Amino acid sequence: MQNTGRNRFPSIPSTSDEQLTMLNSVGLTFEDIISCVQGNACVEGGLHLPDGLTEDQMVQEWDTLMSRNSPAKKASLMGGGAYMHFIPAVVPHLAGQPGFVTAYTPYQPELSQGTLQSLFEYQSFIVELTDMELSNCSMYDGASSAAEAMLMAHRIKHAPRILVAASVNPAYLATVRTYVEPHGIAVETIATDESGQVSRTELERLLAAGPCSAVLVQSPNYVGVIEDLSALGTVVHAHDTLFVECFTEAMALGLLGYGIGTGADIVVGDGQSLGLPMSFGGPHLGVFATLKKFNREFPGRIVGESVDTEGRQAYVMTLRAREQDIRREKATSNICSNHALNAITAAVYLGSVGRAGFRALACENAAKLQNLVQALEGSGRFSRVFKSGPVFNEMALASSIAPDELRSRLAPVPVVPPLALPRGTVPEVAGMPYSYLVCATELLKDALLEQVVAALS
Amino acid sequence: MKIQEDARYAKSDEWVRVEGQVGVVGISDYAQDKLGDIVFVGEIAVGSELKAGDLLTSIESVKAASDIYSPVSGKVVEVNSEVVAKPELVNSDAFGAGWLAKIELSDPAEVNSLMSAAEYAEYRKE
Amino acid sequence: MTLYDKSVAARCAFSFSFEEDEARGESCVPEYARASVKALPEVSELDLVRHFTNLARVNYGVDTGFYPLGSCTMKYNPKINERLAADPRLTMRHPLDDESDNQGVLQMEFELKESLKEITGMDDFTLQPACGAHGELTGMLIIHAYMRDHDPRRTRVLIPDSAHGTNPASASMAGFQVVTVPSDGRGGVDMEALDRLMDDTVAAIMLTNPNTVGLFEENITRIAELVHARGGLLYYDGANLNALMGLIRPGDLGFDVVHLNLHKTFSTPHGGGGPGAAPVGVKQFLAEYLPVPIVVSRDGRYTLDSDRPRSIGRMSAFYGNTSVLARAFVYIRMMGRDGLVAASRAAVINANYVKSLLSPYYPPAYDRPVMHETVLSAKGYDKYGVSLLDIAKRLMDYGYHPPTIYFPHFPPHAEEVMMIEPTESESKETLDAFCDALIKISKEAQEQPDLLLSAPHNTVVTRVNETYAARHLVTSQRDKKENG
Repeated sequence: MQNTGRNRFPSIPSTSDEQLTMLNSVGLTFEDIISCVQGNACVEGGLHLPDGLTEDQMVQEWDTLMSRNSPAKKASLMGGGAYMHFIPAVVPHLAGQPGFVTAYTPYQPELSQGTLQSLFEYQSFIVELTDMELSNCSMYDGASSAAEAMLMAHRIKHAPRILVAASVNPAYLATVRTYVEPHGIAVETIATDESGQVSRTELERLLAAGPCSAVLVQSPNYVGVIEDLSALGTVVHAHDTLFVECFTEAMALGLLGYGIGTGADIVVGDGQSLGLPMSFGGPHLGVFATLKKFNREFPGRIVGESVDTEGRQAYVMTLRAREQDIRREKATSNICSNHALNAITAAVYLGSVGRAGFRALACENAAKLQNLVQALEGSGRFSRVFKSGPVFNEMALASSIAPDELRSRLAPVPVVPPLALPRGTVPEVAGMPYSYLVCATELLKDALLEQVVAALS
Repeated sequence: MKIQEDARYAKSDEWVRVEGQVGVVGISDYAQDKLGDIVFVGEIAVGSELKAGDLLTSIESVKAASDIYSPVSGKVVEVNSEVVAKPELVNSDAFGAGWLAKIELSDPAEVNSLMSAAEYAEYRKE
Repeated sequence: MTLYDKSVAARCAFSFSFEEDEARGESCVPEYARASVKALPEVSELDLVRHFTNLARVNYGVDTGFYPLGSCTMKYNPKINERLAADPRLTMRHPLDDESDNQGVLQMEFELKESLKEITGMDDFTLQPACGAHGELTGMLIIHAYMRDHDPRRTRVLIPDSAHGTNPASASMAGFQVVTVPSDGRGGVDMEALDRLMDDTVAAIMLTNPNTVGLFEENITRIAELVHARGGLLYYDGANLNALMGLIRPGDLGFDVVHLNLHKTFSTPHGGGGPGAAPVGVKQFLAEYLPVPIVVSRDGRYTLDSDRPRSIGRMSAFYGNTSVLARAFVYIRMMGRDGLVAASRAAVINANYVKSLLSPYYPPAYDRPVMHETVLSAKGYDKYGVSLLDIAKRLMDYGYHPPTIYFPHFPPHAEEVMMIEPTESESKETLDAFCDALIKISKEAQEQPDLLLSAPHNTVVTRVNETYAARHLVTSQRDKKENG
């Protein structure tokens, strides 16, 4: 139904009169202009798409669609690479400002100091949290950042072989394989020992077997176990190989040590836990930090500090000669746009929780997991798979309860159930044939935890 | 555009100045001007064996990156550590303090196939 | 001043009901792994709010003013997209949760896929890539895998000299060697050169259409025939799709692999550099190589299919940038069949109008009607001692973000050029005022060049010293403290 005298599409301001005036000024009809296109296959009869909707109609349709999802939960016992955390109101309020959201890439620094300074501050926070020297202003996610780290290591060390801990998140490992495959880089995995950590003897054996560009280790790893990164770093550096640390749960940065102190050459991971909702898997936040000596090899955009013609402090994108628009096929990466707005969101979040808050949150996460595990073990239906492996906010538990039963028992409790691990992911525990990856964050309040335990006992 | 009379020039704007058995290599004033403010000169490995036309290093400015090719064949015997610390030397003194490497010439006659200063000035005349 | 500079010990912005003892949490982590408290700012919420509110205020955005950036399609970001994409029923979804809990979001993604298939004429899509370059890498990895299985001699990729830098960078990351194809005098691919270069070592040609000079590739049918006849594939960089929606489809032109930029053509916001989304579409014979998982419809249910043995693998941990996909879904659904073609039509008219107003002052690179963007040269201004950069900086004083400058660059046709893409979002008044400003600047260049050389004057900072930034690298607060 068409309203006469009004443009049909509010996002297209030019009226048909104005379009005619403009065409007259050009001296061509629209058909003249697109005559270059005719003679090639054209869309006869228009696209086979439904008619457009007005805003109120769209809201209705969206509502119908979203109602087909289960209701949003209060906490998530599921981790595995995406985490539900508390997001203060100030975070989406500040990150959602149109000055940040509708801005373009800051190629013209005079018009982009907001984006540039915010990204500089993000870089500063990442350098502190990862204890490294240089951070870029974001990549897409932890998995692709890990993959880019492997390519970077290969550019530096040239050996067509990398070692990846078997306990790295399987989706991260799959992404690494996809990225390195066309370059003929062999990927070998390092077995896990009985404590759930990377086997040091296996690592030594694999390193001794031949040259290797990088060793990639995740901590806390996929089954929740914290690695002894310093010890591993020492083993790796006895060889001409880069040590790459990764994390899927950025909250761990609040309590765990990474980076220079543990011998890292590169630290990568996902910053989704820093003020970003899970959003069904994306967009998240690729964190990438390294040492200054690698500043020519490292991918991604970097913001640097400088001065303007009046000597005022100003920020600008720097070391651009590594990037695709200048280096083209020799660039350190093809990355162009990244996840800048999510990096800004993380900067706001870290400013909001602050020094004390971030530490306290990390401690809360660790304690909550212990409470949950103790209660579940106490029920007799669950048992930890790795008795001696230290953990942060995730842990592998064996259980006598099958996944379908677990889900239906937890259905009345407003939590996302734990992730059921496929058979063989972790060692079997006698009498408990099923295994789960159980996560607890600060959102698992005592009252909710009691409901969970009651439902599962 | 500055030109050094006693140097020979490659089409890709590198120069070589023969001093006994050794060729001192750098990029021309024209090349540094085109690059703009230089911010980085890549590492060159002492002892590497190169043929004329092999990649010597790469030089970056704020808006461009250039691969630099050795105009002569031989072994790198010395590298200018000053330009690594202060890349701006290549801008200010491309033929002097901005030299890049010294190469022990394996075939001294090679320089004859490079352009003379006059030929290069003609080639790069704006 | 950064947040660190504003920190005062014990100030806090955070309000949360902790239930556990902090020391107990700390003791959970063994000493060898435990870090001491890391340095983050300590500011009040008001400090935080003023800090980031004032930063956002000094940023230019589409909501503030016109961005005539070529090949970026800086169109308006409708606010209904923002509202719906922020729906907690979407944002609070865990990606690994049971599919029966996620039917709504899976249906939304499936329907988006179906509409993208229709818009582009392709047979299947992955929604996983996060941005254009990621999409290009995905597409080129698909081609690489296909060639590995069918014709491993094909290790090279042809790319026009006018291509965006991500094209050769992506081809190289996907394991190919890059061969550049020159453009001809009319701005299209040089057919003679193509004939010479297209042989049995070439896997594919990567094309943008319209190309980066805003011109529709006149010989596209011949190019497709030639490349296919000699065993190669065609890759479509969809950055410029805003010119073509509802008029022509890359799938119908013979492209085998396509990537789209939702943060360009489909109105999702740019965010200062992402996140975007870049779905990759393929013809049926390549579908088995798509990264996993793919959202499919089976027996009335939507599911994520990972059972694809020939898949190239994964490009990221999960399924794509869902909240960005949601915005594009809403945009496409609201524009509908007639809206998309109306958008392309208006975009093309706007670009030709701008070209006609500015041509007497900034000659176009090619004397042909353009599609949705126009490339104009500022080469003649060097005789006043003024460069294209100076013109761009002076435009800021008139309240505009400059167009794309120095790209594309392929002498002799494209040198000192600016690329202007008005998009359909802009009114005739905006275009008139913008062209007026550029015309005034053209006179200023001749009569008062100093105004351009010292521009911009009206912005919060003046020209920033990029050389200083690179030579004295300070990229974090820690750097600052160490460098003094």
